[in-house]
Amino acid sequence: MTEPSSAQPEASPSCCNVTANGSAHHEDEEKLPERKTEVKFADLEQPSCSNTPKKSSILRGFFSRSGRWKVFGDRKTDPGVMHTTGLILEERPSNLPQKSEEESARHRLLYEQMLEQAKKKDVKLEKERRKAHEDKKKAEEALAIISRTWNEEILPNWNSSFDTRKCRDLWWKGLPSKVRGKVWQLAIGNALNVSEELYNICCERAELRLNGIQETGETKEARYNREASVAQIQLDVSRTFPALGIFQEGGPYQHLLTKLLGAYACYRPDVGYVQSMSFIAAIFLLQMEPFPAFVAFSNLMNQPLQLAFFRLNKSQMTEYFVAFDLYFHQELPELHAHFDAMNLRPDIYIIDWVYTAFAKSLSLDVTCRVWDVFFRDGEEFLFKTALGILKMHEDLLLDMEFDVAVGFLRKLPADITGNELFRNIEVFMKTGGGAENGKGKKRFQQLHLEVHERLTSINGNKIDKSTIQEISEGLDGMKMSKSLSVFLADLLEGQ
Amino acid sequence: MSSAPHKKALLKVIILGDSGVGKTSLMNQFVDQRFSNQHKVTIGADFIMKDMLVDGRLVTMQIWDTAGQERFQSLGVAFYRGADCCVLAYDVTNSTSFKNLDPWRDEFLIQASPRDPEHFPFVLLGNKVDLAQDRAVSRKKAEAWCQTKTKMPYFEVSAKEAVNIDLAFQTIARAALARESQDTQDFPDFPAQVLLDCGNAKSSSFCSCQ
Repeated sequence: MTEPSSAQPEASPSCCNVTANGSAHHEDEEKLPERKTEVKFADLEQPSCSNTPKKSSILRGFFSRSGRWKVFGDRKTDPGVMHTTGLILEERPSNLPQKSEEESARHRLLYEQMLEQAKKKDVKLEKERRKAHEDKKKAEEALAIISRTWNEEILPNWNSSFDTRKCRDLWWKGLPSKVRGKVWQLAIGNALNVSEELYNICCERAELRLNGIQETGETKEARYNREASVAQIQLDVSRTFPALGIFQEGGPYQHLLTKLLGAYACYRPDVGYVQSMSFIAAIFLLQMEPFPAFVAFSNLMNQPLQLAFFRLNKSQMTEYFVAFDLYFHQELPELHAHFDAMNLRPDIYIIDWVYTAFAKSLSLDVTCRVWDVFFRDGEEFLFKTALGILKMHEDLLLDMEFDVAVGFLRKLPADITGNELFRNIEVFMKTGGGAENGKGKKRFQQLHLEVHERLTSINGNKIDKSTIQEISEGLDGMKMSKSLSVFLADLLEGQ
Repeated sequence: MSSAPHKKALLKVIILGDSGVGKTSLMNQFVDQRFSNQHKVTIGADFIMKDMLVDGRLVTMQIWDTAGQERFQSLGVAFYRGADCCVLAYDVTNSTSFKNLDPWRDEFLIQASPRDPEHFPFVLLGNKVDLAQDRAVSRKKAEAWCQTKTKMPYFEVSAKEAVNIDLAFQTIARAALARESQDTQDFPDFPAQVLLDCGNAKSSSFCSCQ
């Protein structure tokens, strides 16, 4: 933090003829030679100039013999400005004919012009650098204050403060990375009462499985499933956040992630390992220690939305798809109509978003910000985020054809920022304090409940044409995509 | 019957096979001519489009890449419907992925329930032939399997080194095109059209994704 201010004062006095100082380049040409520092280098291959920038190394290549050189400036004094300093050969090497007076003057002039331009550029860059540095410093200070508020005011009084206005406002702006792990743990809780002892037992079993040690009394089928899931975990871990390189072969988190997923498969054999879990577990491991990460992961997987998806419960998944479709229609009717006209069903993009809670689609930073509020507000927020993404790109999407739109949604632009996304989600935060708000808009949870009630009313019946007709009538009055209604029939038919 | 001669055909192709056999890589190599070790697990299903010429006719291939984990198959119906060709992929260095071809094929036929399933076009790709030293399934064995499945075309390919990819996809496109023009009514009736928004029903065709 203090480095620029301490470097600055000594910078100007110790600079030679080329400085960042605005007046330096107005100096008369005649004056310059007097101030030139003439240095002779016996051997230019010496490492003394090895750390000079590219230009000098190029020159060194050209003039490998000794000659008279001048050194402009002193690099050590102000690294921010003086990086164009180079070694310039004033005259030709002694074995070559000397330049004429006229040519020398012309070269000098050209050289001065080049130098001046470089100086101007340097000054500009330096200004920008300082500005960026100041902005960063300000942001860091603000963050330090926010971190202190979390650490000293909110976390010690969690129960009384987590739901206050102040805390909610701070929370919305994104948790500081230093407290994120702690806040997530508190927000998710441990309703399953996963103890460290249980965790250790699961880890031990997972280690045995991962090392291929056979358990006795295992049926052939169980063994096949076990091997399949172990192999699947190992394969997927290496395909989790590949760009980070830490979960891949030899990476520091490879074993931790494999162990967490293996332990979970032992803890919940009814769920097991399901593709996309690796993304969720990976983010927990990046934010907290292995045991709390396991607790958070297990409890998250036990939420209704996650249970429905990770156990591939098609009728429950369908309820979510229909509810989202209704919600989408309510909030963004124009885009909904466009999608529906193209037969673009919500499940095509929502599946990926729900399974990974956006970890695969948004950048790691933005994903964490979404998770901040997801753990506070629950599953509804994931659907609000989905709408936020759609709203943010509404104009673009309205002009897209089916294939372009699907391609876009399955691979979102990498430059979506948290602030921009949250501005777009904010609109949907206002809908309904209660079940419905003044405009008659319903909350996602309300819509989901209605869909659930209507769909379960026919539960237990064999699904055929007439029952689907019944569902259709049951859902009468709800606007559902024609595309989705076909899908609904497909999904329910397979029950 | 067949569509108008100048109409660009849209061919829907599904790639199925065990996790890790290289389905996404095959697709990327075909569409973008590149291979990366750094791709993420496919969740649900992904798709990519590519225009190509098949026997002088311009067609658009819509290739659906699916999740390889077995349990995701139950979601398959949503993606399989309307397919014109199904590509089965296995890894020549992994014999389990070869053994699982039968279940993948059967499951596809059950879920997509195409008309005349006996003649539905499949193409088999044996990927990773660049890893010759690790080979676990011989070409002969794969060819013998194909013979039992109404002479399914078979290609030994490498997504990594772009071996046989274009040739394989030409065959896939041709098979899909033949299917599409011979029977555009492959999936005539959906079990039921749950038309909630009856007032606005614009068209009678719900045939996927067009």
